[in-house]
Amino acid sequence: MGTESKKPRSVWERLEHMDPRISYWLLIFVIVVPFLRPLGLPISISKETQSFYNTLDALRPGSVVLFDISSGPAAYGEIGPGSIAMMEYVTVVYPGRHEGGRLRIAIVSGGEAEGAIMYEAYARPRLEKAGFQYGADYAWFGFIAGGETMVARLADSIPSLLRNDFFGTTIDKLPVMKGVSNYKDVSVVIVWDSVDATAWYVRHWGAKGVRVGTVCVAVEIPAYITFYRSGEVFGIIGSSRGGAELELLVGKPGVGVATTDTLSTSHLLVIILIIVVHIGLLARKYLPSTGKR
Amino acid sequence: MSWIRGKDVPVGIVFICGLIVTVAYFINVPAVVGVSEAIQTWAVVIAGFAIGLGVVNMVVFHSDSIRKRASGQWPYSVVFLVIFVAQTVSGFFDLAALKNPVYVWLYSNIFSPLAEAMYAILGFFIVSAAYRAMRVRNIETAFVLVSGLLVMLTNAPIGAAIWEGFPILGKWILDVPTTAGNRAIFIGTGIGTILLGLRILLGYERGYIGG
Repeated sequence: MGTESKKPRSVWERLEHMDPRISYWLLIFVIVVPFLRPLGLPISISKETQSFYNTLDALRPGSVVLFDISSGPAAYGEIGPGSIAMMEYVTVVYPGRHEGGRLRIAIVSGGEAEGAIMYEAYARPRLEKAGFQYGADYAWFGFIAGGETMVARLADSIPSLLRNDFFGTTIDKLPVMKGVSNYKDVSVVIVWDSVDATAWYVRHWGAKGVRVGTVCVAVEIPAYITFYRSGEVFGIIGSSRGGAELELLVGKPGVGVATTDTLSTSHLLVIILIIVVHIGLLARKYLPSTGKR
Repeated sequence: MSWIRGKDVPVGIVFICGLIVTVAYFINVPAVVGVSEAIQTWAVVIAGFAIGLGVVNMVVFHSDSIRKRASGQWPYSVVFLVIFVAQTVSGFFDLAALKNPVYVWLYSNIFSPLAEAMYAILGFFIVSAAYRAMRVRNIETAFVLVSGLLVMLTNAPIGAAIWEGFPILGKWILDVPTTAGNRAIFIGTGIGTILLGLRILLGYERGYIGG
């Protein structure tokens, strides 16, 4: 066994069993280069992103949007671009396209306690900058424990769980929540999701006819496309690529568009590495001089 | 009073609560629905307490670790307790805790970068795992590899730049076989959940109270 490990490896074997550290350095290289020299590849808009935009755009001013921040800063690289573009749409683009009319926004954090920080970092500053009035146009209810049970209860009776906002103001003193008692009074739910919270809303709100949209991480996309195909999810802003698409629809290219080139180069690297490994694999298998095992 | 310490009481409570919530879901009897809603609200409150319990558990665990000078562990426990106390105290100083400068600084400059870095490291593991694991060994692995490559070329704009057909094929894989597979998984999970729920309600499954 020891003799076998000391036997010099052929080129093909080295290709097949490439040192992972080489791939790490290559990955750093292909991520950095597009930032220095952008490729500017065209980004097509997927139907899931277009549907997300169209559904929000079709809402009448004054419609209530329940907005669940179920992600933390760890997932910001994936969710950040879509989240920022969505806030840009809600605070600037929507009022511009609806004669100054605004959506009424109730914000909770159901799946991730860190949603509170995400609210402070990415939601509140944009709402305030756009002139949205706290209490009249939007309200923040903080993190509510309970996961899927909380989401189910919220559908049946919003005031029973959201009795006070984050700052202790009772719900009846918040004009934005006037007449909002259960799922029937909410037009759409949007989830910033890295913990599968969209599925909770699909099961407990979507099943009752409320449309659910999601800004989610890449690994959740295949599952949510299933919901999208069945009409339970009205749109998906999937990872940074979806964020880039929404940025283009909103007309404000940002970090999503900037990072899409790295998406191309890193994916291409993975494909090239897979091909290289298979060249080694096939050569060792079919070329007699390479030491077939 | 040994029956109080036994597992029949919690199993009985679970049976009654589960039955009420299940019945209320299917049959609209106001009295039952009211009790069901109260139970769900309690569940949310209990979940809040569970988080508090988790915090206490963490503090006790790491305090023990420091007291016993647990090998290779206690310095990290010190770091945990220091950060824990700093974050908690700075949060309590200001009712609108998220605006407290110390709280925000700690969160923005310690937790947030570390969390993002941990997540970003996944990218490196995924790259090395992809080329080491995605190897054609038989017809099934060939399907997985080709599907994976097509979806990658769909997600990255460079796929369409190489050949316009890549996104069409990739979208078809996501829309048709993936959706079909996911639906099968969802249905299977649903049936499994019903069966597990029945086993819990009837007391056959007691893992949640320690077996």
